[in-house]
Amino acid sequence: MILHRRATRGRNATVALTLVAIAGGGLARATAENERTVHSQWIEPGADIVLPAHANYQNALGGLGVINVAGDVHTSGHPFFEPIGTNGRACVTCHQPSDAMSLSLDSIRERWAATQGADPLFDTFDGANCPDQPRGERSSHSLLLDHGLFRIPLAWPPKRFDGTPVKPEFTIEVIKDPTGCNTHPTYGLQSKNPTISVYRRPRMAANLPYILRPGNPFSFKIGAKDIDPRTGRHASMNLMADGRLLSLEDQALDAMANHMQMHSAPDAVTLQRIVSYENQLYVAQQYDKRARKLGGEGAPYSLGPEAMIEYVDKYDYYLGDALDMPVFGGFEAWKSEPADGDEQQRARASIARGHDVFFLRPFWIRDATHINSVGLGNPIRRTCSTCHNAIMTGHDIAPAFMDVGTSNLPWAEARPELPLFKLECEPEAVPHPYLGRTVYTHDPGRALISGKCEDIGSLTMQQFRGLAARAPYFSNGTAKDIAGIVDFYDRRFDMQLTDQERTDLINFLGSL
Amino acid sequence: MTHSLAKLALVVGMLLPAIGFGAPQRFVPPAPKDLVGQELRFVSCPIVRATEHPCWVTEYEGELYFLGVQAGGVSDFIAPQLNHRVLVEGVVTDKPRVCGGIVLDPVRTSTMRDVDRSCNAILPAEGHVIVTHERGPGPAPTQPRRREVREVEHVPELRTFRVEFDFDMERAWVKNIMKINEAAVFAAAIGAKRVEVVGYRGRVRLSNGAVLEELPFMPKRRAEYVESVLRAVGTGGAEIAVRFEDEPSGDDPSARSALITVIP
Repeated sequence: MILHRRATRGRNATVALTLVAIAGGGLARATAENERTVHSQWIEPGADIVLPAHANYQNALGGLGVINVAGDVHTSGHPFFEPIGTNGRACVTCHQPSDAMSLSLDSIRERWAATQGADPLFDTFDGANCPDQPRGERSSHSLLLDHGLFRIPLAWPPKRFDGTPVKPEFTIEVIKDPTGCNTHPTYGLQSKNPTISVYRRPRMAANLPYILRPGNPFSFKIGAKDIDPRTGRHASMNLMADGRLLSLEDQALDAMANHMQMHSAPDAVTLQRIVSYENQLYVAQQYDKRARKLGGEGAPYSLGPEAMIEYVDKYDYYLGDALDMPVFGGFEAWKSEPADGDEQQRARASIARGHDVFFLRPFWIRDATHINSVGLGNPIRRTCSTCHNAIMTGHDIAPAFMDVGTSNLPWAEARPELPLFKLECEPEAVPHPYLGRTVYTHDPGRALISGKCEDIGSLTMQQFRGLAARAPYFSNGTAKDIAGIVDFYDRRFDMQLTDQERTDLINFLGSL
Repeated sequence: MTHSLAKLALVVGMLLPAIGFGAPQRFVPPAPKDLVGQELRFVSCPIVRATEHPCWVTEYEGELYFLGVQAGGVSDFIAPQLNHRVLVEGVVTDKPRVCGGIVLDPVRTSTMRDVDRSCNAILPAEGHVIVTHERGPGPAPTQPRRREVREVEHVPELRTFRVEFDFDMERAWVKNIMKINEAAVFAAAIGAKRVEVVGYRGRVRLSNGAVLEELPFMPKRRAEYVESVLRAVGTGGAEIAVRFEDEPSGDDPSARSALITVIP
């Protein structure tokens, strides 16, 4: 399996490598005994390699395909891959192709082990629990090493795109501060530059034409969508966990200033190259160890990275909660696989059944802000695809932020390692529709940007592609694996999944 | 929000066992004769019944009233919310009960603003079957966009669009957001000079004599909300002027609104 070609400057000769893992400078061969583990195919900032137009990366469930529609990329000198800030990081540090352009916990741990914490990944600005903690000590980086979380410092109160302050509808009190950062005299809410620190996972920098599709200018969730100051037009608002940045350009600038500690703005060409690269990438699981090839002839049309390219501009409207326009389609052929068939047949049938659990099996969706509260009623008896409705990706076109309880008590799982905040809403504010005017939360989410009480805990859902490559899941890493995702929803909404349904749904999600 | 029940869902309680739907049901007659024709306004807890197509009822003075069947976001019936009370405004009919409840026609419901955790009831189906419904609990049969869209000719003229809101709500449901969109599209199409938005608030006299008045800041917030959607959609350069009427404009539900006037 060809992964990366080592570039030889000035000559056409390349060396095809049947590599699977690059770790600590050593090379591991793709052999049967390696298939049991997840291999990190780490790209270091400043690497001089050629990424093929269609790159394949092995993971625990099979293989991920990453396609660049613009062809091969020579990483040397490319701003996405160069450490153009001051801390040695590049964009690729947190958006690794092998991790579906995100960053898996396995990769983080492998880098820690390989470099004894010296990798720029562990820069203390956001790779430590708080910037003042001693670098290289495991306890300083526990949120990253145990949960895959980076510190996201946000100014409080927030400002609009034009710099004018937002008047929040609530006050924030720090109830628990295990990292020390929110009560810190320099980095916290009472500091000279009041800042709230929340802890979140990196998001996928792929399939972005789907994510950035603006859709209608209005939304039944929020009324008017935010206007992108760069274009003067409404934006999808689906790029960030809290919708705070609307364009790839602004995300890149923010990341360079913060995550890469760059102290001056990049030039226009640099910015454009980064954005262009991100827009060229399409990612999906393309091989399952049991079901075998995902996508192509004989497989559901919505599987595999090639399908992501084929369908990106196929439709006028990407709402997929409809029988004639399903979110993910083409599973009929796999439904007829024999129950007593071989392993491949059984795996395919399971994936097809799992699709039907996702698309057709109703359950009560209840007390979820920005789905129950938008006129659908509370509760509503619907399916996963009611919220996860975007064709080919499974995010929400509406835009995608909602509170399903990953951060807000009482629904959030016990997270003693995360800060806990108490938010008190003004009497005249629209209250959180199900928690009222006093909310305890690990991450206020969208409310930190909008200042609105009803947005407390609402976070932008992610797309479903490449799940197999980028555990853990949810913004705060609550779900350690795909089973954890399914189990969260089963508990949260009392879905009462049978063991078979649970297994099938897990297999389906792992095939995307 | 009103919805008129053009078709009735017939609950055949006594026939249910014969066709295999759950336990035998005691026949419950429609509304008592002395209630028929009465206009009722009350605030109560909504109750959802776990029928295959969930139906909503509420209890008031010992009677169960049918509110509507779960549908989509663009339906006439906007389903209430547990953890909230609901304002019900409707006229009692003698139509056969639906979902076990007396049918109100017309009927309007408003989800009240604050959380009330005492409103938390889900009833079992108890053999009730909802025959008439807009869509089931699964995916819609057809993607909304693929429905036929009428071409509309825009004639330059002064035109108004009333955007209705639930009681004490400053954000509109989808059907009314579409009215704002329609106003913006119309303004742009005719090259309107000006779009005026006026926000209002109302009051309601309940059946028990109490008077509920909407919050004093509703007119301003409604006007600003409508303005934000107009600007997001675009009015083709027409100036947008916003004002609001502080005092309640009346008892009619239409007072809970914002009025858009497009001036050519």
